[in-house]
Formats: sequence, structure tokens, C-alpha cells
Amino acid sequence: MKEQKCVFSDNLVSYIYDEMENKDAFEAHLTECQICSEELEMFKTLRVSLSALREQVDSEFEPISIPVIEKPAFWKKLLEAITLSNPLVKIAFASALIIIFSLTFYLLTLQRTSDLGLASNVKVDEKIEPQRSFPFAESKEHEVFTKENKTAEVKPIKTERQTRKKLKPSARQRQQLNLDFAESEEVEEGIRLVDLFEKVGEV
Amino acid sequence: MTANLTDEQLIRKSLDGDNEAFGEIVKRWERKIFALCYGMLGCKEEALDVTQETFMLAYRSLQSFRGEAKISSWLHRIALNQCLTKMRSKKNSAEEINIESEPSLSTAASKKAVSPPELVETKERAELVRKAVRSLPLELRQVVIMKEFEDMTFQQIAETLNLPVSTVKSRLYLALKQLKMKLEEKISAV
Repeated sequence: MKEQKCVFSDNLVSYIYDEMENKDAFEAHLTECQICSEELEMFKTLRVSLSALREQVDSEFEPISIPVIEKPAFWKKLLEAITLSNPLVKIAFASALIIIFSLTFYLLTLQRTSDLGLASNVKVDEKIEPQRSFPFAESKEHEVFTKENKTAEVKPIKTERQTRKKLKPSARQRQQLNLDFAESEEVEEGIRLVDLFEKVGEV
Repeated sequence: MTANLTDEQLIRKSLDGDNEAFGEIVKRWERKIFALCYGMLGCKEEALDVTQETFMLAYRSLQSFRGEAKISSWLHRIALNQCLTKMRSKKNSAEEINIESEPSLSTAASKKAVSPPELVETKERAELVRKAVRSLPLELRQVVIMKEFEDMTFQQIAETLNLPVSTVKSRLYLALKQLKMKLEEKISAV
């Protein structure tokens, strides 16, 4: 036997749970529809029974305790990953660490040497020299007008060091000079003082 | 401090590693999630376990929470899945009664002027209702629990279960009718 159902039966739940927008219209329907009014009473009774279970659920509730879950720090995660990994990974990690430490040590040593001015004298000189040798480097006094009426920059004056370097003869040049010095007659005369005194004595 | 924040703000804080913020989320929703689990599983201890598992799982998968759904819907879905897993593992689903195969109770029985609250004491009545709820099919049971035990609106239930509101209403209607019949059966058997 098929159970009787009103076309508005589904709206009944909205009415019971107070989620109906047009209540008046449905209440008017309830006065006319016996099926809906009987179902409404039935559901009201049922909800009283359900409230008993609801009370039981509320009374049996206990606040749960969630263990404090702290997110592990990066280094902890890394350490854990390494300790749990296979020996090859451990070796690779150890090698990487050694390389990193060696590089860091090397770079630090290099830095310290440069701070003491032992390794990069040239840089220091270059920084200081232009000011000493060309005090107007920043000014435009070194600019001259060429024939083409164009501004041309005067080549910076060679630094003292560069000049000294250029004047200073190379080893080969020095050798050559010594040879010339030894072979030169003038020099030979100049050196031989005895001959000179002899000449003076004669005078 | 965290009590004034919205669920979304709390989630953002939790993602930044603020455990207190997640604690506030637990405090806000644990009662409702417990009610859902209790209604689905029918056992206090199991319900407490699943509630705890739900929040643990939620915490672990916070990163995957995209914020498209509300936190309540998300938690309910996790809890429902956990309940289903638990039920499957215990093969509790065998207790379910298939609506289609269930012989429809006579209209005469439903018309019997039986008033459950008058017949049994509160605890016994609650036990009877619990058994009746447990015997409902899953899709009807979850709707009844969400509506009756959690005071969720039809819209919220629809969002949580990814169903149209009309389906939620018709399921609830069907669930209430089935529940009434089952209760009358049980009461008449007492």
C-alpha cells in the first residue's frame, strides 16, 4: 500500500526547522491538508525523542586533548633525514660539509690577507695614487678643446708607481747596463781613481 | 586573543605555526564533530577517538586546505570520512538496514497513538533513539545528525555534503519518516 504524500511534504521540514520564508502560506495549507498536519504532529513528537539523544550526546562529550604538535625546525628535519638515510647519502652529506668548510676557510683567509694589504697592494695603490698624482681628477680642468671643437679627455697622468716602474730597468736591461758600464771607457776612467790622482799629480 | 578571530584568520595563523590558533579551532568545533561522530558510530569512546583523529588529520593537512570551502564543512567532511573508515574497519555497516528492502511499515502502525516520551524513561528513550538512528542508511543518518545534533542549516549541510538543498530537505524528510517508524517498532517491541 502506497503511503500518501502531499506535494508540499518536502516543505514540511523547512517549516519544522524554522527555515521557511513564506510561513503564512504554508500554515494556510496546513489547515487544509490533513496529511501534512498529521505528519507535522508526528515529526514534532519525534523531535522530542531525538532531543533525549541530543542531551545524552551533550552529557557524554569530553573535550579532546590534542597533543601539542610543534613543527620541527629545519635543522631538526635535516638531521632526521640524514640519520634515517642510507650510508651513501650520509657520506655525500659529510663530503659536502667538508667542501663547504674548506671553501669558507679559504675565503676567510684570503679576505684577511687582503685586509692586511699583503695580497692586493696594487688595488690599494690604485685607489690612493690618482688623488696624489692628479688632484684635479674630479674637476674638468683636464678637459681641453681640440681642433674639431670637441671635448677630449686628457689621458690621466701616469701614477708615480707606474712611472717608477717604467723608469726602473728590468733585470735584462740592468744586466745590459752593467755590461755597458763595464765596457764603457768613460766609466772605466771615472772608476779608476788611481789614474785620476796620477793625472792630478802631473798637473 | 584568538577567540575574536574568524575561522579563516585562525587557519592562517595556524599555517604560520601558531598552535594556539589551531587550539581555538578545536575548541570551537570539537563538540559538533563529536556529536557527528557519536551519531554516526553510536559509541562514545569511538566517537572521541575519531574526533581526535579528525583534528589531528586536519592539522596535518592544513597546507592542503585551499579555503574554497568553509572550515566547518572541511572538518565535517574529514570527520565523516574517518567515521566511514572506522565503520568499514569494524564492518559495522552490516547493521545498516536497506530502505528499499525494508518492508514498509503499515500505516496503521504509524497511526498508533504511541507517544515515546510517555512510555520510557529518558535514558532508555535515548538508547532507543540512538539505535533507531544507527539503523538508518548512511546518507539519511548524516543528514539527521547534522540537523538535529548540530543545528546546521540546510545550506550548511548541502555545502558539507556537496548536495543541492532540495536533496538535503527530501533526505531529511525521508529520514524522519523512517526514524519514526523504527522507533514505533522498537517501542511496540518493548
